[in-house]
Amino acid sequence: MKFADEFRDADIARALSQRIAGEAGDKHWKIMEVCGGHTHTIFKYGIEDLLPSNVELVHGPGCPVCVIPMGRLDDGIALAKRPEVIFTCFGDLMRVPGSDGSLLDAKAAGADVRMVYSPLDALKIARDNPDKKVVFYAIGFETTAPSTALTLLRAKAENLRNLFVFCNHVNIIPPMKAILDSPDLQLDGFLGPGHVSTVVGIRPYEFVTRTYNKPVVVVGFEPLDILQGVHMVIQQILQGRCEVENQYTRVVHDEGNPKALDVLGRVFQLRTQFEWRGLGFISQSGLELREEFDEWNAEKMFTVPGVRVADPKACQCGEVLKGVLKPWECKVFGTACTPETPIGTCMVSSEGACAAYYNFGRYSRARERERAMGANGNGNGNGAVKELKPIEVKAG
Amino acid sequence: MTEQNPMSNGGFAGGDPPHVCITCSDQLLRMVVERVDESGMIASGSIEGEPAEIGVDLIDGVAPGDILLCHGGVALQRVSEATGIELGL
Repeated sequence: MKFADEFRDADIARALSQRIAGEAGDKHWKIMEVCGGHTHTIFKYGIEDLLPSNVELVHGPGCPVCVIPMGRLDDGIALAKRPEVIFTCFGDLMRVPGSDGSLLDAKAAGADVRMVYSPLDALKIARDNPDKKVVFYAIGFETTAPSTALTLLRAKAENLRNLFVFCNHVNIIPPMKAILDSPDLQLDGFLGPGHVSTVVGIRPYEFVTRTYNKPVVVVGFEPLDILQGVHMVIQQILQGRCEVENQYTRVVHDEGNPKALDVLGRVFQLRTQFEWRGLGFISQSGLELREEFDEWNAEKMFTVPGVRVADPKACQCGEVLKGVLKPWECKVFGTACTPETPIGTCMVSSEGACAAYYNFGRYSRARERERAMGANGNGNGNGAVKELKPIEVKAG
Repeated sequence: MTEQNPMSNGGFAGGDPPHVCITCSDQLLRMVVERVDESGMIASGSIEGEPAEIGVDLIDGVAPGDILLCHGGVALQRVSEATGIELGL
């Protein structure tokens, strides 16, 4: 596949891997990949197998399903249960446990809950069902918010009055700042989120270099993108530089997408604060609809419980989201909490660190054990392999 | 679309691990443009071999043959040729 295969070349990966190992020296490096998409690639392709043991990738908070607090989910489920409502959302959200079941449970009990691939699908459902109130539960970072904004602009232009948005869009920059301010975690640098950056550009990360003296490299989502990003972070530090660099130039422009930013500014404004699972309330980290969209704002047009709900005690998603715990260090990982029966959000979304690790990473650890015993790995490190392959996932 | 339909296996109970989530997950899908409608706001083409229609309000001058990165039914960026830096060269 053009624009993908060339970023899975095993020879280049091995060369990069050797360069990283040669330059990393004896220092223990901690580099956070902010985005859940990166976490997924890292586990899927066994990237950690290609890094020396002293280069540690720390998984960050960039999975929007994972950071939705339970109280906000309960609000959505309460809306879904209203008889006059058709509730629409993206697929992953439907499985996230609320304090009294999930959206799938509500659907099983008779609520009209529909999975959509785009908020524009919700717009169409609203057009087709004028006697119903269609609620779109909007989540996501700056990558997702433009499609919600365009949907609202179209609804307003059409004077479509039976579509409502329950807005949970969030910004990636404030949680990065919260993590940097946290005494729990000392990082050397960041792999910046590639697709968020298609919208916002690379300049919003300059505070990380300026205020916290940590390098940021915005990277793509193929295995070579990740490896090169790691190499660029290490090189910056070794060379005494601290900059925002753009590895993903085939997609990310320094200024982002000005049209998308304009649309976001017309529809949304910053909330004073927004709650993040595991990170608590972070000021100016969430988006809400501007006043001129009040008639499409589900929070203004419906009464929702609006109650803050604590996470289950056994769940340690908060520590995983902050990168303080590895997924397998959570007390319930892989036992009480699995993708089939998730307790925490990190196990629900495939981008969540726990699900990615459960689905792929545990095989990486199995290979580590095999190598220690003299057996072969999965082939990613084999000189005869020409292309990095996803890790084969075995049943069970 | 790469996402597994959550209804297809009774709500993910067992079976294959879910594919990449479209929710946000910072995942964009590549669409090869075949046609742009008269309004200039909708492009049709294929995503991973499947026919698709995408809003192109946020991209200027979309034309057949363009490769667009799409998310939530909207194109967010046009893909350009890879550069040396991205190939580790």
